[in-house]
Amino acid sequence: MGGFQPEVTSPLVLDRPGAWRAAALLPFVALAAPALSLFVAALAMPSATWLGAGYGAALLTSVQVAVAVAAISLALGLPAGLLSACYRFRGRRLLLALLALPLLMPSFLWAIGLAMLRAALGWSPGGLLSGATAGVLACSALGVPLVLFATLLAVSLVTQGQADAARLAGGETILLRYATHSAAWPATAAAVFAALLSLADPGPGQILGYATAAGEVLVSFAAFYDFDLAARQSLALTAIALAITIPLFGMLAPRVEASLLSRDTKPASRRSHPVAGILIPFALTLLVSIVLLLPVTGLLLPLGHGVPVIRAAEEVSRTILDTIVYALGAGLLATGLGFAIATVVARNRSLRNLAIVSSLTLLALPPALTALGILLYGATAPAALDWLLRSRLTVCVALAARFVPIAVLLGLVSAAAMSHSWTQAAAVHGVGLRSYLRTVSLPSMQRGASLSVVLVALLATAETGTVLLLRPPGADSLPVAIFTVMANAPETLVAALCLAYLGGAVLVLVASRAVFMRGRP
Amino acid sequence: MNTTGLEVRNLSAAYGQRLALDAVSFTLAPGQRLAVIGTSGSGKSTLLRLIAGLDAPVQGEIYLDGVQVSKPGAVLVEPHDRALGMVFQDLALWPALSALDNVALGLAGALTGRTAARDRALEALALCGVAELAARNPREMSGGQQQRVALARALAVTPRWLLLDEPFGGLDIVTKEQLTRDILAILEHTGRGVVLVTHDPLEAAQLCHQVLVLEAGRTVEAGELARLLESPRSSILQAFQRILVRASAAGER
Repeated sequence: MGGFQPEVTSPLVLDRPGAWRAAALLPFVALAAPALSLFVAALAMPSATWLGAGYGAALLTSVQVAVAVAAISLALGLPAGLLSACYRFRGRRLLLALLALPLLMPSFLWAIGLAMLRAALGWSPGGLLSGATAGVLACSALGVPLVLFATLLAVSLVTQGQADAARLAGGETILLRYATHSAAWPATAAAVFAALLSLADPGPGQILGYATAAGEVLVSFAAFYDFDLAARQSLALTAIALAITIPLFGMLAPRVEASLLSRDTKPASRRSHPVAGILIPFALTLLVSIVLLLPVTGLLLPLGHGVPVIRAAEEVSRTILDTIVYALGAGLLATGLGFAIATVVARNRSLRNLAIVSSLTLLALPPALTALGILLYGATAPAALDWLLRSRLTVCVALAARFVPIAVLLGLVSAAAMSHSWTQAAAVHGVGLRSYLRTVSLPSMQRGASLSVVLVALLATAETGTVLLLRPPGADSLPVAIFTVMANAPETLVAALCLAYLGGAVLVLVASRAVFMRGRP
Repeated sequence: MNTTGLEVRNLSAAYGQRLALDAVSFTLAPGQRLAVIGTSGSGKSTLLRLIAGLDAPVQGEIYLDGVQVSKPGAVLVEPHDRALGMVFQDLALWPALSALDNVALGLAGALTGRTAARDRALEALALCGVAELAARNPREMSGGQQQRVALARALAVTPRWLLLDEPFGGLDIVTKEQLTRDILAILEHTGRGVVLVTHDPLEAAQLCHQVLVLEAGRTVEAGELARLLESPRSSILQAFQRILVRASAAGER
C-alpha cells in the first residue's frame, strides 16, 4: 500500500484480546506462594496443642475488637463521608487531610499515644483508655477515615445531573438517601476491611495489654521461637480473613471495577448549606480530636518532662537509611509490578475483575503470613540465596508483595483514564508500540505511578510486622526501633521517636502534595 | 473490481451475537467523498473501523487500490499500512503531547530525521489553520481547535483516504459551519478521498458527493443526496426532508 513505513509492532496489541493476558495474574500466585508453602508445611507439623493454649481466647478478643471497629467505623465514617461529599464547608481540605493521616501510620503509634495519655491522666488500667476498649479506639483511628474516604470516592461518582434530579425529586433528604445508596456497599466493604486489618494487627494489643490472635503469632515466633506454632496460628487467622473476604470481595469486584472505569465522570459540585456549614466542621473536628488529637496529646505530654533530643536523633540517624531503603524499595517494586499487571489486564473485563478480587484478598491477608512463608524458605535455602531471602532486599520484596494490590488498583485507575481510541489512532497513523508506550502511555501513567510509589512507601514504613520478622540484624526501620525499644526505653524517648516519625510522614505528604498539585488549577 | 479506489464487498460485522453490519457494499473512485449516515447504532462507526483495519469483518472483503486488505476473520493489511488518515469521534488526541508532537509522532517512522517529521507536522497544522497552537497541549485548546489538530494529524501522513468519524460532534453551530467550510477547502486542495460518518444529512450534503444510508446495519439507500431526497425511503432522510420543508416554510413566512 502507501509508501509510509512506520515501526512494525502496532499498539493495537494492547487492546486486542488474547489468552496470554491471563499470565498477568501469575504474579498473584507468586505473591501467595509463601503463604501457600506455609500452609503445606503446617499440615505436616506434629503438635499436641495445635494452636497453643490461650489462642482461642485471644482470637475471640480479636474478633470482638474487629466487630467493634467495623461498627464504629461505619457509624462515624459513613455519615461524615456523605456530608463531606455533598456539602461545602470551611476547613474541608485541612480536616480531611488530618483524617487521612492515620491511614498512613502504624496503629501502634496511636496505641502508644493512648497508653501515655492514660498514664498522664492517672487513670487506672481497666478503664476507658486501656485494654481492648483502647484497642478499638486505636484501630478505629484507621477504620473511620477508611470508611470516610471510601464514601467520598463512591459519592464522587454521583454526577451533577443525578444530584440535581435527586434534589428536584425531594430536596436534600432524597439527595442524601441517594448518596447513601451509592456509598453503602463501598463503605461497608471499607469497614470490613478495617476490621480485618485490626484482626491481623499485633501492635495495639501488645501495647495496651490485651491478648490478640496476631499478638500470639508474634509471641510464638519471637519469644518462644516456635515457628510451627506461629505458622499454624497465622493460618487460623488467615482462614477467618479469607472466609469473609472472598465472598465479600467477589460480590464487590464489579462495583469497584465500575467505579475504577468511570472515566470523565464529572462529580456533582458541593453545595453550601447553612446547617451543614456549621454542623460538618464541628463533627469532623470532633472526629479529628478522637482519632488524631487524643493520641497525639498522649505523645506530647511526656515531653513536658524534657525532650531527649540527642538520644532520639541517634536513634533516628541509626534507622533512617534503612527506613528509606525499605520504603522506596517496596514502593518502586510494587509500583513496577502493579502497573505492569494493570496494563495487561486493563482491557479485559473478566481479568480486571479477577485482578481486583485477588488484590483485595491479598490486602486482607495477615502480613505475618507472607513474612513467615519467606522465613520458611530462608530456613531451608542455601547460603548463596541469602541476598534474596535474608537481606534488606527480602524486606523490600515482602513489603512490596504486601502492597502490590494498592499499586494494581492505582494502575487500573490510570489505565482506565486512557481511551481505547488512543491506541487506535496510533495504529492508523503509524505510531509503533515502543513509541506509543514511551511517548503516550507512560507519561499518562506517570502521575498515578508516582502516587503509587509514595503511598506504598508510606504504608510499607507503617507495616512493622513484616520488617520485625525479616530484617537482617541491625537493620531496623524507625517504626520497628520504636516498637522494640518501647518496653525498656524512657517514655520521653518513645514519645519523641513517635513524634519524629509522625512529623516525617507529614513532611512527605505535604511535599508529595506540592509536587502532585504542581501545574493543576 | 476497481484497480484503484476503495471497494467494500458484502461486508458484515458482529459484536457477540449481534449483527452490527449486514452485507454492505460500495465502491469509491480515488478522490470521491462518501457520507455514511444513519441513526445511532446503525453500524456507521463499525463500517469505518473495518475500513481502517481496526476490526476484521465476519463476512465480505475490502480492497484498497486493488489490494485485498481484509477478508472474513482477518485483517490482511495492518491499519498503518493502508495509507489512511482518521479523525476519531472523541478525536483521540494524546493529552501528554503538544499539538505538534501529536501530529509528528506517527511521522517519525515514516520520514528520516525528526526535523523532517516536525516540518511535515507543522505544514499539516498550518494547512488546518492551527500552526500557532503547535506548542500547546490539547487540554489548552477549544473544541474546534482540537478538531483541527486531529484533522492535521490525519492529513500529515499524506493518506489516500480520510476516514472521519462524526468529526463535528459537540461543536457549536458557528464553529461547525466554519470548520466544515475549511475542511471542504482542504479536501478540494488535497484531492483526498473521504468516508465521513455522520448522523447529520446537512453535514453530508456539504462535504460529500455520495451518500450511503444505513439502518440496523443494512444499506437502505445509496446515491446522490439531492436525488435521494426526492423520494426518501429511510427514516433519517424522511426526517431530514420534513425539516427542510419546515425550514423552507419558516423562511417564506
